[in-house]
Amino acid sequence: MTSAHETDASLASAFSRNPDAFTEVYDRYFDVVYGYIAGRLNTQTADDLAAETFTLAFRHRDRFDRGRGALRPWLLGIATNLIARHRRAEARHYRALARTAAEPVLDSHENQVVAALTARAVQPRLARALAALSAKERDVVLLMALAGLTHEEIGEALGIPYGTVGSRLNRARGKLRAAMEGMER
Amino acid sequence: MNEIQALQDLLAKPPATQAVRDEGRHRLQRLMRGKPAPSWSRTLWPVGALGVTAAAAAGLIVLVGTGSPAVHNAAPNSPPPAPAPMSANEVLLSAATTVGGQPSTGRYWRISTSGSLGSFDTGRGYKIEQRMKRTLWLSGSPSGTSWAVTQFLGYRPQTPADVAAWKADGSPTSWKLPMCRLKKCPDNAFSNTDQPVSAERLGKAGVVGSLGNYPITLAQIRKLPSDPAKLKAEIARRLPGAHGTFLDTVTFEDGIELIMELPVSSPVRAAAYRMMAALPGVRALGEFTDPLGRKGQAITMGADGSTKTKHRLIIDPATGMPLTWEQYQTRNGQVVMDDTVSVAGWTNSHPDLQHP
Repeated sequence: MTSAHETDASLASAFSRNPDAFTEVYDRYFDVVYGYIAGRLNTQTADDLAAETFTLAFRHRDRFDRGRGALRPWLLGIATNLIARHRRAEARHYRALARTAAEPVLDSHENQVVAALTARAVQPRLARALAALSAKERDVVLLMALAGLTHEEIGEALGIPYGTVGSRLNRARGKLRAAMEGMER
Repeated sequence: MNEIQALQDLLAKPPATQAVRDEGRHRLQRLMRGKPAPSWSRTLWPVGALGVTAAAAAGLIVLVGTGSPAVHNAAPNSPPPAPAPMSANEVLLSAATTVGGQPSTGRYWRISTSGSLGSFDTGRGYKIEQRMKRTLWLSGSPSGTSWAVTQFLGYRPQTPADVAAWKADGSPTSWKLPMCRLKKCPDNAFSNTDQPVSAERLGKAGVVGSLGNYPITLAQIRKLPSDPAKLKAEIARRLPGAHGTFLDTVTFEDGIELIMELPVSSPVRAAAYRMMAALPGVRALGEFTDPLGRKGQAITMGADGSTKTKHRLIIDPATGMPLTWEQYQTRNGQVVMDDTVSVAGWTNSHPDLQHP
């Protein structure tokens, strides 16, 4: 359907014939995988786990079914499994965010400064709410926020039905929204 | 702003450096060519030349610090062999005996730590790191009030080499670094100014901390068993879905967290050490010096159910309490997370809410 799908399909058929073509998968998707892992854990861990995601993907490249899905959700599903093993790093990250305010964004216009200040005030509550989500809720909402996946792609990444993605996402977003609104009252 | 955008702002991070990107590609290419990743332990340590685990661990630090295989050349004129190092079992059971013998009296369980919140590459030849100082004052009585006193320190160059590069850069006190939200990476400001101290009252609905995946109340803490096997079962109950080596490693983590961050009685703290001693995969590293220059007995354990990262816990034999808890990469020895303890124990002092 999309050009990303077509690119993925041709990339996948390329690396199934010639494994060296897999470096192109790395170059194309490294940033999104890195941003997703660094956002959930920390940069030091992401430095290692992003590379690990691709070496694991390469080892299991025969499991990628190009008829059924795209490379990006497949890679992010692998990254999600690796993140699950770093429970302490993730909990520690959100705990720290719950106690701090974000650094200000530079070069903002005045109304953006106001928006940035409001966002700063919301952040500790949001971090606390994020830490309080179940791991399954966190997976779906962070695949959307940090990796930009659609409902369908989240389903592919986690191997869960479309309907389950929707209900988990609604629950997670509702809890996060309640935490943010609690701030405004 | 909706909650998805708010999450993107909250969790924005700098993009990967070119060095990280290149290293990852090299790892992938080595695998494609069918070569295993180079192992520091295999290429640089003369296994068997020195006391195995302790020497390997000490060698790792030397190698990472100086980039030269200093251990190699030590052999011909090396001093007489050190006394046999303590096993992990001995280290943990001895710590259990020491903490178990402490009185559990005092109004507060107090612990002060400093830990890294992460480091960022400035792109100017050095990394800057932010650390958090925190003191927990955990009341042992339901009528008391528990506090977390926290301070976020300003960003500082991380290692001595980073400090040198920072001086060469004109010793700047603030930096602009790109922080990415999906594909957009606007500059954010990072400064070396310490943030104000904040004191947070704990104990909402009786909750003073967490154990396993769930919060724990003082009432529940008082019911924790002092039998190691029962304590292990209680922790496992709080970790639904975990099994195998992953369950072992998170049980190890929760054991340390219980020892450090919960106002449990001395027998329960001792039981946590005994529980850890009985876990498969815990190994001794021998004597280790922590980031504050204090010596202790170090043990290690896999950190993620694989061999990629490990925990290193350095225990003070005199008090039985942890000095430093680190997580490091087995590939290159780099420490990715640490908590360094400056004060730990029961106290009758009044909580100091001005200083973390």
